[in-house]
Order: sequence, then C-alpha cells, then structure tokens
Amino acid sequence: MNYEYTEDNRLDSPHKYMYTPYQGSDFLDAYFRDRSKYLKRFEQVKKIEGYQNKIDLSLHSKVAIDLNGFFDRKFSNKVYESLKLLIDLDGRVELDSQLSHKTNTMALSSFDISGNINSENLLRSLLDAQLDKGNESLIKFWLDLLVQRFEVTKKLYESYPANFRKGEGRDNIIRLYWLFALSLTLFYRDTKNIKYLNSLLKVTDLLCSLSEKLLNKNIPIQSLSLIILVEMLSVKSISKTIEEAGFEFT
Amino acid sequence: MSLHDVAMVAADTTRTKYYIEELIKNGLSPHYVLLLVNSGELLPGQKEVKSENTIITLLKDADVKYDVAPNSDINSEGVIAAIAKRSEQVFIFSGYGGVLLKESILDTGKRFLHIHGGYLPDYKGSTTNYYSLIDENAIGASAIFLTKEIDCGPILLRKKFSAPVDRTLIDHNSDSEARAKVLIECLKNYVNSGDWEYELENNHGGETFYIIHPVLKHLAILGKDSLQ
Repeated sequence: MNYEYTEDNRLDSPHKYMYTPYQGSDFLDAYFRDRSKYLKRFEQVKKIEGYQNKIDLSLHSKVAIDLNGFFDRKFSNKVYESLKLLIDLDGRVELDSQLSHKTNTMALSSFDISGNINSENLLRSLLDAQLDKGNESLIKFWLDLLVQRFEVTKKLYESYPANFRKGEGRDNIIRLYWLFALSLTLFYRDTKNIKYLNSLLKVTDLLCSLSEKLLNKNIPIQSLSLIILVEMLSVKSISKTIEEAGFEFT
Repeated sequence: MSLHDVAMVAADTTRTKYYIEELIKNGLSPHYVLLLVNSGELLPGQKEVKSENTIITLLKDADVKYDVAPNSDINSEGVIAAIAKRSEQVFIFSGYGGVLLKESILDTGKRFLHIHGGYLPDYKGSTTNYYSLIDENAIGASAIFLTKEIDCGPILLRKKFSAPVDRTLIDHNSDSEARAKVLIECLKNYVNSGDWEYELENNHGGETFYIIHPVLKHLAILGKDSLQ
C-alpha cells in the first residue's frame, strides 16, 4: 500500500482530507515507511550540499536543543541512536553561541490583529516566544489563527490583512511551511493537544511532497528530519497498543 | 403525531435517513421536510445516489409532507425562499458535510436545530468524534441552535457515548446514531415542556478542531478497545 498524501506536489494539488478511507493497520505501516523514506533521502541531500543560512541553522539548533528532552523517552536503543545522528545532539552541528545570531525578531506581544501581519515575522516571533517559554495563551492565540487559515486553505500566505482574513501575496514560500511546522512541533510537545499534531501531519505531508533540491535550497533539511522524527514518535506514542508498525530507521 | 411547528431541511445523506427513521419511529415526525437532492456526483456525506430515493420512500410511507428543493445548495436564493415562506419556526438541519449556513439564511428569522457530532463546548469543528476517541475513548453529540459563529449556538442538550464496537463505521453510522439519539431526546424535552430549554446557553470556549488527518483517524479506529 502506498501513502498517497505525499505522492503529488501538495503545494500545487492540496489534499482536502475529507472522508478519507479506512485502510486498516497496513495504512499506518505505509505512513511510517513513507516518512522513513524521506528521512533517508534528506540525509543524502544534506551530505551532498549543506544549507548555508546561518539564521535558519541557528533556529534549527535552538529547536533541536529544546526538543532534546522529548527524546528522553527510550522507545528503543536503535531509534535513539538514529535520533542522535539526525539531530546532531552530540554537537556535530554547532549548537551554541557561535550560531546564535541576533535576528531582530519582534516581540509576539507587538503584533496587532487589526493591522496587516507579515507571516514570516509572526512565525519567527512565535518560535522565539515558544523557545523562551513565553505567554502560552498569547502563543496559542496567534498559532490558532495560522492553524485556522492553513486548515481551511491548506496554504500559508505571505501576509494576512486585518483580522487575519483571506491571505495575500505568495502562497508558495517554503520556509513559511517549515517555520509553521516547527511551531506546531513545539506546541504539540508542550500541550499534547492532538489538534496541533493534526496540522503538523498535514504540513509535513506538504513539505515531503516537494523535491529534495527545492527543500534544501529553502530550508535546513536536517530541521525537517527533526520535525518528522518528533511527528513519528508522537504518532507512535498515541499508538502504544499497535505493534511496531513499520517504525524502522535502518 | 407530528410536530406542527418543527420542519426539517435535509440533504440526501445517510445521516438524514437515520434522523427520519428515528423521528418516525418515536412519533416525532416533522411537519414538513424540504429535501436537498443532488442528481449528479456524490456530495460530502453521501455514500451513493440512488435512482429511487429511500428518504422520499420513508416520508411517503409515514405520510410526511415534503418538497424537493430547487437545488441542493442550502444557501441558494431558491432554497432560502422556500424556507422563508414556511410557517414553521424551527427547522431541523441535516446538511451535506462541511456546509455552513450563511448570514442570508440565518437572517430569515427561522431557527435551525443542528446536532453537532461532538461534546460541546469542548469539541467544536469538524470530525471531532475521532479526536474524542483518542483523547477519552468516547464520542459525543450536542443539540444547538445555529448562529453565525460556528458551533457556538446555545446548547439544548449534549451527551457522551461509549466508543462504538465497530469504529470503522463512525462516519456514516455511529456518529449519526449518536446524533439521532440526542435529536430525539431534545425533541421529547420540547414536547414535554412546550418550550426549547437550554442545558448550557453560554457555549463559548472549548477547542476548534479541523478535518482529521488519516493517520489520526486510523489511530482512533484502531484504538485500545478495538484491538483487544
């Protein structure tokens, strides 16, 4: 069985996810196989051509450090070893001050819903607030607006006018989907609210459906690997009663 | 017996069939039914389009007055006009999946009794029973009068139900069964008291959910109880 949700380019052909068919436990095997396939591909791309944007790499490092605790739960030694390799917890990515560039991110509290909102600015501020353990209700307020817009249109737009109405500008800025996925990952880790895992699964489908070259040009691809790992472990955690459904990292 | 001041506007779906069967069985037939029937491709909530409509057969057999709407779009001018001219003040609403009532129909002055698939206000939005199966191994249904804010109308009645034995049939069966039970109890309360009484008028807060991803849907179906 194939996992159809990453088969087409989901920026060009978004999936509506309405009345999706029940296909038994084989479907979950297909999901785990598909995600594992992308992890391997991304690892190859990363080896060939490294991503250069230091601000993004710094953000990836900060998120990786922040998520470290998430991986303390030992699902198996094999999984844990794979995780260590993929998120460079031992320091192969420079995690510390060397890459901690100041990004002049706006404070989340400075955004005003009655005005125009630049999506990248909002997402970067959201992530800063999440990493700094900021006001959770304020984080949820802004993240919920993005979730609502994404779930309705399956797109994130360059900007949103007053009251977060219909988005404006480009809808194919890959880094927006990556930043959104990072924010969802952190928020799900903090709240365990399945609503956010639900959106994460959809945005990860979208990102995986894009070509590796395109991804590597626009985002640090190891960060997407990290997102996928957290997502898979979260799904695995919910499915405790389902036997090792294709959860392999070899 | 029929409810003289209660009508129904209904899409041609399995849920509508459940509702009408239960209403007739419980002696709570609506005074009038406006059917939104499509003749072409399947609309959300439909399993099939039959040449001989089973809902019409049910209504005929029970001697319930009905009309087929000029089109299947509840927000169209033709359907709004057909509803506005009726004398009944309350319409049971059973629409196609994902269809929301726009201001123009809510402004007709009629009240639309909707049974939401989920326990309100905790579970607002779409496919919430899959979420509640994962969270608390239960499903829910809540009777509300529709307002402009989605799933935020005053709650007449809400109930939780244990997880269905066969979770693969949630979309077209278990969810509809739960909703039908709440609908019947809500209408019985109305018949007994002569008024629409609210269990919770302030239906604010809670969480809004969106269409469930197939991975989570499978986890909900393959949950602990169904695996044992």
